[in-house]
Amino acid sequence: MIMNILVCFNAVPKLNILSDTDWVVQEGLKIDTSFVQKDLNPFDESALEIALRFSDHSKSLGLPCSLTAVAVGEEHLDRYLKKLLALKFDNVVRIHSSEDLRFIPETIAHILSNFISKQDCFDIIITGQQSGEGDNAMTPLLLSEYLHWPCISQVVEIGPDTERSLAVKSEIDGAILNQKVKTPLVLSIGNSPCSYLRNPTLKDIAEFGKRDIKIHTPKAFSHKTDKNIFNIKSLKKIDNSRQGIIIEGDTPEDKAKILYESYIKEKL
Amino acid sequence: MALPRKEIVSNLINLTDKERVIIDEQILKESSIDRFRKVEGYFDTWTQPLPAAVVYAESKEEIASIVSFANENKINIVARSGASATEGGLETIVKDTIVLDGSKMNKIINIDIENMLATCQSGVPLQVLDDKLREQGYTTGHSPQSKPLAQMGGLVATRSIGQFSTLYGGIEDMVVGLEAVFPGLGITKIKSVPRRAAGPDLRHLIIGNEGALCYITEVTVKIFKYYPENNKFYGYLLDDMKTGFKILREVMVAGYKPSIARLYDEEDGDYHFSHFANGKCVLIFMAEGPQYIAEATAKGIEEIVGSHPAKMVDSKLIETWFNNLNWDPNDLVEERRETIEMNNTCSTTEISANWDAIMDIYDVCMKRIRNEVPDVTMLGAHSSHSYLNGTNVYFVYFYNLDCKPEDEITKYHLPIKKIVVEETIKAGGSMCHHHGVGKHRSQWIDQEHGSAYKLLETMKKAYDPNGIMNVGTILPIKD
Repeated sequence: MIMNILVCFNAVPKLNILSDTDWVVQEGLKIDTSFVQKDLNPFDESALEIALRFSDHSKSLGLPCSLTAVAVGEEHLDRYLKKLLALKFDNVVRIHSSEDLRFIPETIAHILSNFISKQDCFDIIITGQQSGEGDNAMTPLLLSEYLHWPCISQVVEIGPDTERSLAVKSEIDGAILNQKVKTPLVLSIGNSPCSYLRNPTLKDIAEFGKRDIKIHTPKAFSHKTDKNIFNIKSLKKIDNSRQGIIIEGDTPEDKAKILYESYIKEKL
Repeated sequence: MALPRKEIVSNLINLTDKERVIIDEQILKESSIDRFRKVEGYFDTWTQPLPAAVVYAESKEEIASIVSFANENKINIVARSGASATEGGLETIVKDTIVLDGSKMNKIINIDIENMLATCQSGVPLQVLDDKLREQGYTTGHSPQSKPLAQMGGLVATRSIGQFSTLYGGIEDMVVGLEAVFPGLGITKIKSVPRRAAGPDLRHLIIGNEGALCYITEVTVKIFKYYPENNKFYGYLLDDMKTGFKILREVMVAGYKPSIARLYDEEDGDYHFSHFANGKCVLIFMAEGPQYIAEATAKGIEEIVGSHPAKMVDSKLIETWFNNLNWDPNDLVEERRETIEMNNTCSTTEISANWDAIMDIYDVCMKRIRNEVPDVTMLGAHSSHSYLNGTNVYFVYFYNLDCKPEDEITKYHLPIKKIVVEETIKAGGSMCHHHGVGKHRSQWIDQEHGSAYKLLETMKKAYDPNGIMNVGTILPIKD
């Protein structure tokens, strides 16, 4: 039996590029990030690479597995989906949506759960624990709830076990929990040491990357839900700046002495 | 007879002091390479002979005494300041080399507004100098991507160029006066004057010498009025590079001087501008300077580009890109992490050629690299510096490392460089646009210069008769 894995991902703007003057809260409590380059959401990037490693490992043990990636949004996501095709994902899907879905995790989770239910083939859902935009950390948990599947959060690594189970390593209260779990289940990827998605070679891009992206309309996965769980009341940029003092001195010893006498001694 | 390592170190301590003569093994390892062998460093694999010591000089007199000591004892010296070199110029390929670091010579000596000059010691970081000038409404006009890291001595030594070169020129157009230490000749100063016809321009013995002739101790550069309020940004999408080169040429030939004129191919465009490039080539201009000049430049660019099939994009996209141009130490840390985790790295080779040759060089190099080099994951190029007569092309390539770290250079980087260099020289271009020759393009230096190569050899013999200055840089080691 083939283990079917679905990885859900998103691309987010590089918010660190936004200057203070760009950080303007507009009508509807939105911030315009359209002029900023996007990148894979870091937790989702880990999820994609973890899925590839799992697939490589499974196949080497004679356990076949199939990888599908799905993203919800507009055409800007296609470059990532093409890359995933080149990385030999078996299928890539974009559920086209022009809606601004930031801060609405329940809608995203509904679209995904409807898609997963209709496909009726996936054994494992892997997704990043939260997005760089919104940071609500709700989507995987809601997805698990809507699917009525168990969810393991803070996952850092997975490995093959049998055709219908896998080994999962997750962080829990500062410790690492190793479990063998049965499918189906949702895995929410946390601070995994596996943080970068590998790159396909030009040869693989030419050979595998030209396959078609399956585009679905959101209608197919109607997402009318209850009212939003959350309503944004305000948006404010967090000031991360720190005060700095340059200690002047002729030698490192002089500087260390000033540091000790003036700033450290009284706190000891 | 070669001086034993221990004696070299004790002499260096006598000439300076113990704290500034570093013999810590890890520091020596890290000082045996530059960014050309960054993969070896990232994977803690060290293939170069370790230097005898790294010496942090604090004055030109100390530099002079160390160069004199090395000259008398035939000890190789690698001159270093910001250590952001990319072509192996800082590699210590000779046993018991002295790495002579000028980064503690970091005083801005004088900012002379009347004569529009800034004089500083060679270890002043460009970022520090330019920030200081901007506080007063001036700028050096020099802005290489390495600006936060690079220091004035190294920038001059490698014939650096910045992103605003189309307006301000390369470092060679900015340097007015210099001071350097030559082996056997001691401290040599070239005064700062607006122009002169007093024989050959001696500055050019020093600019671009890559530490192979002398050690730069002081630099005087022009300064310019700084008008950021007049900056105008333009971005366009094009179907092909040919149209882009044509537009760049027309802008230059018409006599406009945008500070930025850059053209990215589809791959490089996607890498930098994936949020709007959409599989197209990207052409970027920035007009700056006094209001009327900036406005006229902008108008001229609009008119020229408007006569070609080009789609204008929101200038805010370009302005945001512009505000995030340069590398900083955090980027280097991130690059290291990424290389180690992904087993994938990036390298570059930059060349220049006249307008009639540049497109062919671009085409043939892209084709050959794609076909001949394995494991390449990204191959792109951009033109970032244009002139009346031609432009440069900067090839950028990423590859998966399917080899030991120490084999990365021979399996990937050098074969790609070889393709680019050989095709460029064959087409009449220059194999080095702005990173210098270093130690890895020196094998082609005779072909680069043709019959003029003998001038280079003669210079080396005349100014560094004992061959102690950065052996193997610019000129290859002869068997």
